[in-house]
Amino acid sequence: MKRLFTAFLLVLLSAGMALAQRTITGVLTSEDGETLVGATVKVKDAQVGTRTDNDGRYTITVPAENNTLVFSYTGLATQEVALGVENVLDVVMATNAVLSEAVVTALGITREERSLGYGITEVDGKAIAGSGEVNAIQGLAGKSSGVQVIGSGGTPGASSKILIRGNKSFTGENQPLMVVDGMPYDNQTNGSVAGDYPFNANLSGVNNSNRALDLNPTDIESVNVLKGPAAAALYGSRAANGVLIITTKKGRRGVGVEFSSSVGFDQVNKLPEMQMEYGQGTGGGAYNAATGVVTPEGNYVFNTPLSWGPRIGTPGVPEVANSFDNLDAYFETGITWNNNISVSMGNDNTRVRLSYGNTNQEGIVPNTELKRNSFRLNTESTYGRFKLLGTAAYANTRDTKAQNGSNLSGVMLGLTRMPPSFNINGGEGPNGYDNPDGSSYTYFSIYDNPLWSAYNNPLTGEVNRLTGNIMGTYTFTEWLDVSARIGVDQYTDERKQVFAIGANDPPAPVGEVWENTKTRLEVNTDIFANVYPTLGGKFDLRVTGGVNLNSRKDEDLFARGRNLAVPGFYNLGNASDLYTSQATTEQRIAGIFANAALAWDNQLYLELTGRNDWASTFGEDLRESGYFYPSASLAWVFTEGLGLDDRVLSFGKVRASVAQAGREPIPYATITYFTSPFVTDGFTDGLGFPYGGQNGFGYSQTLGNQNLEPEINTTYEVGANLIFFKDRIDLDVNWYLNKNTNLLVFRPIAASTGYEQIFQNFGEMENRGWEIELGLKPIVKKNFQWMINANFTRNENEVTQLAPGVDEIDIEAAFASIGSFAIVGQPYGALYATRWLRNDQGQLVIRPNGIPAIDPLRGNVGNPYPDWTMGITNAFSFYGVTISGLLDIREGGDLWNGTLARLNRFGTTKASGDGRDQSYLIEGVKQSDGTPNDVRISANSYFSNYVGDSGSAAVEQTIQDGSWVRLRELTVGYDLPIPKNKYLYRANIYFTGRNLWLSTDYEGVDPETSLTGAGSNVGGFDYFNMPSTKSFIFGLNLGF
Amino acid sequence: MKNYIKTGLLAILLAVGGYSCSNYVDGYEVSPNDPQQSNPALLTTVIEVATFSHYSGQFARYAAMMTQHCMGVQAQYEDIANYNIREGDNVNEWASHYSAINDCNTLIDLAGDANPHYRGIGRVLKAMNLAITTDLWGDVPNRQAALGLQGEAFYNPVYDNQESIYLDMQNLLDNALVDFANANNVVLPGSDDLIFGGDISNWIITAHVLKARYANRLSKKDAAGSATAALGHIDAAIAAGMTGPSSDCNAIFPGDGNSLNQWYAFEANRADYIQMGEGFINLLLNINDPRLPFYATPDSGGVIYRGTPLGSIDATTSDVGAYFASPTSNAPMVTFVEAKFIEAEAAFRAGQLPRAAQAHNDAIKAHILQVTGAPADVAYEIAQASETAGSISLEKIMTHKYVALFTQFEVYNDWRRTNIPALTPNPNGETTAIPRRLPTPQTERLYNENAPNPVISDITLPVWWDM
Repeated sequence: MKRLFTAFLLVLLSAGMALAQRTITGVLTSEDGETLVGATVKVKDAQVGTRTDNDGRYTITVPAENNTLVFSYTGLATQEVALGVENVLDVVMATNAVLSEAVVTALGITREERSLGYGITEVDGKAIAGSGEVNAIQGLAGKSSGVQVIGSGGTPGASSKILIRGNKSFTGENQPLMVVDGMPYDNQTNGSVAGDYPFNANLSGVNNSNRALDLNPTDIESVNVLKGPAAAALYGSRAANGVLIITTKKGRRGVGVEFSSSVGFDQVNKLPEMQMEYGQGTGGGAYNAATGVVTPEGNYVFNTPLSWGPRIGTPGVPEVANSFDNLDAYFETGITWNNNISVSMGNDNTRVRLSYGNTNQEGIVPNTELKRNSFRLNTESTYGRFKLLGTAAYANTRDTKAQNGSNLSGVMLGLTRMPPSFNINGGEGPNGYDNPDGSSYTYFSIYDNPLWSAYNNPLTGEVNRLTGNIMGTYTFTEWLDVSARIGVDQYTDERKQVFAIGANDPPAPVGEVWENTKTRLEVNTDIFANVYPTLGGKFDLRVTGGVNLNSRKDEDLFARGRNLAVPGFYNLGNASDLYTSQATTEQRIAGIFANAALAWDNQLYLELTGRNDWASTFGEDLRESGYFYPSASLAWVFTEGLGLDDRVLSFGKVRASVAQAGREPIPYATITYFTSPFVTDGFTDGLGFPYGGQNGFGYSQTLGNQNLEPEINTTYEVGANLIFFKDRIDLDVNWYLNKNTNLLVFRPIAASTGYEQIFQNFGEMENRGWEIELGLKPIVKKNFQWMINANFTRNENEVTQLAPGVDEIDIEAAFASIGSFAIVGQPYGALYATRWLRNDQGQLVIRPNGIPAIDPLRGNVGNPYPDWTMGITNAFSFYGVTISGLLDIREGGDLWNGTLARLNRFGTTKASGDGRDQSYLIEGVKQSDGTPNDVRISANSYFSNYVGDSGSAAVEQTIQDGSWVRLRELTVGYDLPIPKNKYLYRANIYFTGRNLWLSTDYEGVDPETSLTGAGSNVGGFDYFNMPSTKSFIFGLNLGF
Repeated sequence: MKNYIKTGLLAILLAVGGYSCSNYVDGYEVSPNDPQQSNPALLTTVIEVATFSHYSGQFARYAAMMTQHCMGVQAQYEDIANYNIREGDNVNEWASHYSAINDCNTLIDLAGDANPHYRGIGRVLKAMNLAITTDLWGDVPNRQAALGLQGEAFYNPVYDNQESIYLDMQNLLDNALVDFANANNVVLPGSDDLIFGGDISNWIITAHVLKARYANRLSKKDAAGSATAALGHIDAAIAAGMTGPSSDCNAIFPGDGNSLNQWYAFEANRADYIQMGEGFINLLLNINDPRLPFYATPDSGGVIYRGTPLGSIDATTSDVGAYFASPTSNAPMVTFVEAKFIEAEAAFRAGQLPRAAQAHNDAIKAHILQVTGAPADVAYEIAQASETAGSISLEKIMTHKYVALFTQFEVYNDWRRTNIPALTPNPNGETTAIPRRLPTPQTERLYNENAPNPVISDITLPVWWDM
């Protein structure tokens, strides 16, 4: 009865209004039949609009004088439909490949790419999984403009660093924020550092992992690379370095199963060239200045690291009877197994995807491995006006790593210094690399046999990581929805390092075991509302406002035991000398933010953002007031406005933006603390506390500063996107200027003040550059397609200001001979070392002994960052066969080849072997009278004092250009013709080659290398770095 | 109207948000890892450990290399042996000394009038650390040094001339002696004083011997006055109870992983970087010195003692012996034996030859007993430790001091003052003469406006007391 009454009332009402207006209803669907929720429906030329509900249904009242509806939906072509007689109008919205690609931007908001006023590159998840890289970050290499990826070596789990538009901070994080499904995803690279370790742990130890490693690349649907700070208003200060917005695969309608499996074979791709002519010993490469006689051969000496001894096969010297290719004997063919299975289920209201991935990698270095098991569950559920999204992921990553770098137990150190007369497997112990008592069989007592070291000094680690987030959205009306999201990222990283008794890396060869547990907990909460006020006319407005709360806590517990009693038993209880340290950092940031996006007539887009942050790491005043940073961007799709012929220029957009982000300081820099120091001169591990049972606390070397201010990153950017010939040519050009002011520096102060540094806002640094992306589709036929995607990046960095009176800052303590500095007028991270002394004409000044003199002052000797990089992907598809290749070009990027210099001096390089039978005259002028140098020097002196690393040699000589051209990826795939089968819908087999070809002038390992890895703000050091790999991968993908 | 409501609501939201945002981040600003306070006991231990490093680490090895006790044969030590010493080489040591001086100032302040014994220890240790910096770098910051906590105005400490620094060191020691004489202490040093376990009588002796050392240092400036002053301080040390090595101020090394004797730790970490010098081994062999097997290991052949010749990189020779380089060997810093040699030298300079001869003989005999555990044999005593007023010479005193103070930084100071023993510069040297100082540290050039400009790069330039 009641219902009847209501119906009656409605009829009455509508009848009363029918004179002036009519009501239209209908359902919006996409071409593939999905209902479209939240699509905009408007009456053309009237201030009337609505949005579709959760069933894609709309109801709109149309004034009598209007008769056209405009339907729009992000990512789909906007349609105008004239009304006919019917009051029911269902619309199928067509996708428009050219004009409106949807991209996921901050907070998971999907936007039309055309509306964005700043640069963004979308990388398909397939391209990352297809790279054959275990680490998703490394899989991005060469695939986006503005991005530089720097791997640190070819061992399992070795970190990859990523920079977008260069470095922006001296002391803070320079890598972009990673966001996975709306939740920040930690990508730290942390070494294990005992509280009493006085040096930079990045220079030795193992190749640590960046924690993006816990993400299974196969789960990635897409990566959107936000290059500027445009998203900082929504993600906070960490987005100042750009954001990697990673969206994982979601469930689809119906039921589907995907299975993929691959096996890869990894080999070393490049090694230093070694000499095979002269054995262990000293005295070789001599030159008698009086007689002019050159003596290449020296004498055999046991227990020297030098290979300046007798010629191999010299009669009567059995120790040098044969030569051995120990590098060849050392490295193995690594095998990587990768298996993934996922199940997707869904109906109209709920969709679920569950995946499991298993990666099992055995490295090129014996006894190294990586095992990753990952699960991910994504759900989406809609109930009326309420929508719920949830993700949960668990990853277990285990690895075994080997010693690297400046490390007496290190692999490359012991291996490449090894005289060719020494057989790495020549020991009389059971394994060949050992002595009968099991100790290391070595040529020089303080270096471990690197095979022995790999088996006896491993680091084993296990990470258990749980990430998840829940987001609920409630749509109150067509103009208001409110969302709340809480996410958690938690992991425990447990590591155990053992050093067998006799291992040389610990301060004494008495055996060592340490356990290090790192835990990380990040909780991130967003509450925000989207408001869509009706403005009328051709205007569309969306206003977003909200609150973000973020807390991060890192705990590090380190326990070490030295002096082991029972050999081979690695438990702290087996050690007589125990040490523990603990470090905790906890920081919080709260922010309120607002974002307004105004569109006019589908052609002009204006976006304004603002955010006020409060961070726990400031002094009292700024913790109270917080700090504000805004952004503005404008985009104009001029082809829309000008109505150009779309057969030539199909789409054209110009854009400009200025965006700011403020960044908080690192924790605990506001107060001067007392610390238990370690006192060392750099040659021993020093003296630490507790000392003989007594503790001690003295003033820290770093002064606290209550007046810290935020670092300000301001980026100006202009760009254009031009699409010709209906998508055959797609050109995107971007220019940016990134100014970083108020940069926090550990301003060094004269140590005679009693302190070495104070944290202060003094620095300024600029990045400017070009990003060009070009897509070409020369051939688009049904059974033959050819596509080219090229990206070009040029970033120029310049440090423009440091602290008063300070022109140079050591960014991170490195070697005594070389450091990585910030120098005013030079690029950040310039290599800083000794240089040759030159006269006014630039000629070397030669000392009386025939060796050039060194400039008493050190200076800039190289820039480790490239001048430009380019990635070119060519993809062919021909009757089910696809072939694609990624050519990666890097121009510039200097490296300190400390490996080569040391090996030249020790006489194991090919050059030092070949060049031993002559004397050398170094071109230059005599220090005494300026006449041309005529003092010849011996080969030994040449390779030690000129191209070596003795104190007489300038480090400048050892800086080499790290330019390369490489075939980073080559994939050949074939889609098997599937018989019409109800279950199997796709079967694909493929081969992928990684790094199959590399061209570079760099003498040593692959110049894509970094001793310090992703956990460091410096780079460009090669000091006995692990080599990189090339891979041959065979795989299978099945879809059910 | 609706818009006003919306704006109002938003404003309230922002205000509430702002308030609670600030609350959300409060309480996380203080590090849970490091304390904001220390106390005299904790500072004393820190400073003493730093001083151990300074007196037995890099500069002790550096002194051994310059005076040819040892030869550097590999890597950085080959460079030092070749006088290849650059502005960046010793920035760590520079900083470490001033850090210790800063902690000394803090200890002196924190101890205050209530704890004069702690304050006295702070003053003695400050003098000891200041001495090394000025002895190696000449004019260095002193009165304006280590005041960084007071702010920007103190970031560029001026350099004081060495003469004034030596006066300040004597003043510090005088004040320390006043402190030690004051028995009114709220807290007394104990096991936190690693050197003497809180035994103030030994600190008093050490302060007197240091005063003698620093007075005697000025022998080139004022031969007679320095001798008189040094003898006076030695007399005071004896009056304070100095009778033998039991009052020696030594660096203490318990021998755990982080408290290893630094000669041992160096040999363990940097095996074959330095070897015994040929000249020194030959000197000991020539006088048939019973300390040789304690000072040095046999060469790699295991039988004979052999040093590396000047300019050679032979690493198969003898290493520093276990007496000085076992994990737990104490490293001498201020000793009875040194006091006796100072007495001998000062007495000789003052023309008190019998006293000089007696002190010389006593020093040698005491040291042989201390090192070998047995008195010198008769033949050795007759040959080396039986000098008389007629036979004693500066050459003999300083040569035996050179032998006795092996591994100590003092030998480099002594050699610079007296040129004894006569040393030939390394023929491969970057400089033609043996260096007499260190170059201005790179960090001072870069960050201290008051550093010498131009910097001092010539390492053969003598410091003030060496001129």
